Amino acid sequence: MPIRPYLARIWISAALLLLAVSSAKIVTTRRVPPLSLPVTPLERVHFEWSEQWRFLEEARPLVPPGSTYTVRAAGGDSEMSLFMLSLNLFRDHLPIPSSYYRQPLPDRGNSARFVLSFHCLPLDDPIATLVARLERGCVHQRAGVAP
Amino acid sequence: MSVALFFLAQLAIPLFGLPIARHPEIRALSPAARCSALFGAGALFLTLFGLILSLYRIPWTVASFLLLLVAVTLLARRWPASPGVMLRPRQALEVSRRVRIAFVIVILAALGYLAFFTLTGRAVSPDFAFIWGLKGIRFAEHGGIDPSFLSWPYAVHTHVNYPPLFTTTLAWSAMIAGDMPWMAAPLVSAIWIAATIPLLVDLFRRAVSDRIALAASAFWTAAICISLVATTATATAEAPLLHYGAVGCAALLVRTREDRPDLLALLALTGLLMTKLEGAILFVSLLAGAILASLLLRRLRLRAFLPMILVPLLPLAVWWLYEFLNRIPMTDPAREKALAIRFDYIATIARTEIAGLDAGTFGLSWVIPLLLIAVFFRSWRRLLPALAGAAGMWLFLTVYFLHATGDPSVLIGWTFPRLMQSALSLVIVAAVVAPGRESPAAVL
Repeated sequence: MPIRPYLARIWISAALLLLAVSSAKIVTTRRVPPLSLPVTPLERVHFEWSEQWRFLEEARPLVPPGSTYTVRAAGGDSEMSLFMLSLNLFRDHLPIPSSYYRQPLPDRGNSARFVLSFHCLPLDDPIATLVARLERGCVHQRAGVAP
Repeated sequence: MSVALFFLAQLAIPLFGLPIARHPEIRALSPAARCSALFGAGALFLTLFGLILSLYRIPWTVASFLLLLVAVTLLARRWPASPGVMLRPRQALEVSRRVRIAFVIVILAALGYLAFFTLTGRAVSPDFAFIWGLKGIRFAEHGGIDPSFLSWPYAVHTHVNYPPLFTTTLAWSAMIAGDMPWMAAPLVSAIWIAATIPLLVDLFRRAVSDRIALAASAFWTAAICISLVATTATATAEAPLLHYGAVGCAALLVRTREDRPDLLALLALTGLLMTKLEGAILFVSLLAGAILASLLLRRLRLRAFLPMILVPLLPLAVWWLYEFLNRIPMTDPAREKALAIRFDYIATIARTEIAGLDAGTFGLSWVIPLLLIAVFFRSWRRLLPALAGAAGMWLFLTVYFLHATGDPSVLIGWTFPRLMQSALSLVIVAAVVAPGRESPAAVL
């Protein structure tokens, strides 16, 4: 049977089929999101990155604009994502990475005035004093380091 | 308030398309398709204006953009007055009420699906926070492309050498809004997809009947909206890439004049080059397919193709000049080393790529258009631009994965489903055009 006369019907039926299949797939795999706006742009796609975003939002008021800061987190990947996300929220500050793409940069990181430590990673730094312990991490300040 | 201003600024982008508004090819489009064409062209002109302002270190303001817009619109007001390239008079769609209703239902359901999963955060790509939104807000606050940020060695993860089209549109809106609405801004992807639909309908009408044009556009919208959600790809440059890819491919497939370039194809090909590096793959393979098709059909006219090859390179050359003058890396240091190929990855790549063609529908989005292409395969020569475009993207990705360091399945899982959406879009466009005009006895 030639299908040419039925093409419009085929396309529309196929479009409805796609919508039905994808909806069923999402329901059966329990990927239906809650009917609310997410708290961060990453909340429903990557939990750790979303937590990092929230930590940075909490920490931002504690770091004066124009100050240098670095970030610390357990593991190179985690520290990299924290650093990348901080560039969104600390736009009035001067970022200094402690590592980049898993390459440690301790000399650079140690020159920052503020240290944002995700999950309050212990700092082996005698001149760093705790500014605040937040829900998702700590903010430290290094005495004697230029702002 | 900032959210409303952000989206008002997005909806104002078609204003920047004014320089081409009086072109006969644009005037030949339906009103909805004309708005869509001006949106795509407007994003291009906005990007070009932003580049020129940044090149001369003139701060981005509404006034500086509008000044350039007025100047270019005045310069471009004298398009050929004769309707020499009028493709066919604008006619109302000749379709039954049933087809219209079915079309509207599918379009609303698909765009609603995309909007729902975007607003609830399930479809938003992390790259929005890591790359696109970050550069957008930084450019907006800097008042132009920020060379100090892009040349900073610790910003290479933002793909500093990517052409700036999508970033500029985000920066434009953030500049008007005074901030980046992080939760709502990802909806821009839905705008790009919505702006593609009327153009596809108009272009498809040149090759198939009105009812097929409407029905197939609905299928394209459903498949792409579902895929964007399944691949978590909203708020990235994928949506603009899909827009320019589909429009450019459809325009090349339904060209009616062989002796001159097609404006819509030319604009879309330029958009591909200015959106992201992967757009260059589509640019090359679409054009290669179109030239090959013309050769096989013995109607190749270089006069038509040369402008479509050379003109899109001009804005890209301006971007390269800007990069060069500001010492912005012109290659991506974060990428894998070229020619460090691992052929033992082939089995893993084949296995993971097949899984990556799911598109949120167990692969049905691919199977249906591929079956239709198989049925009407006799017209394969005409379809070469689309087939070459899709194959080119797949080939590029496969060769790229052979360069992976470590387990390639991670890299494939992250990039393949997203980038193959452009190939899926081209395959659908090919399947729509494949049968040609139907007989009057069509059903529905």
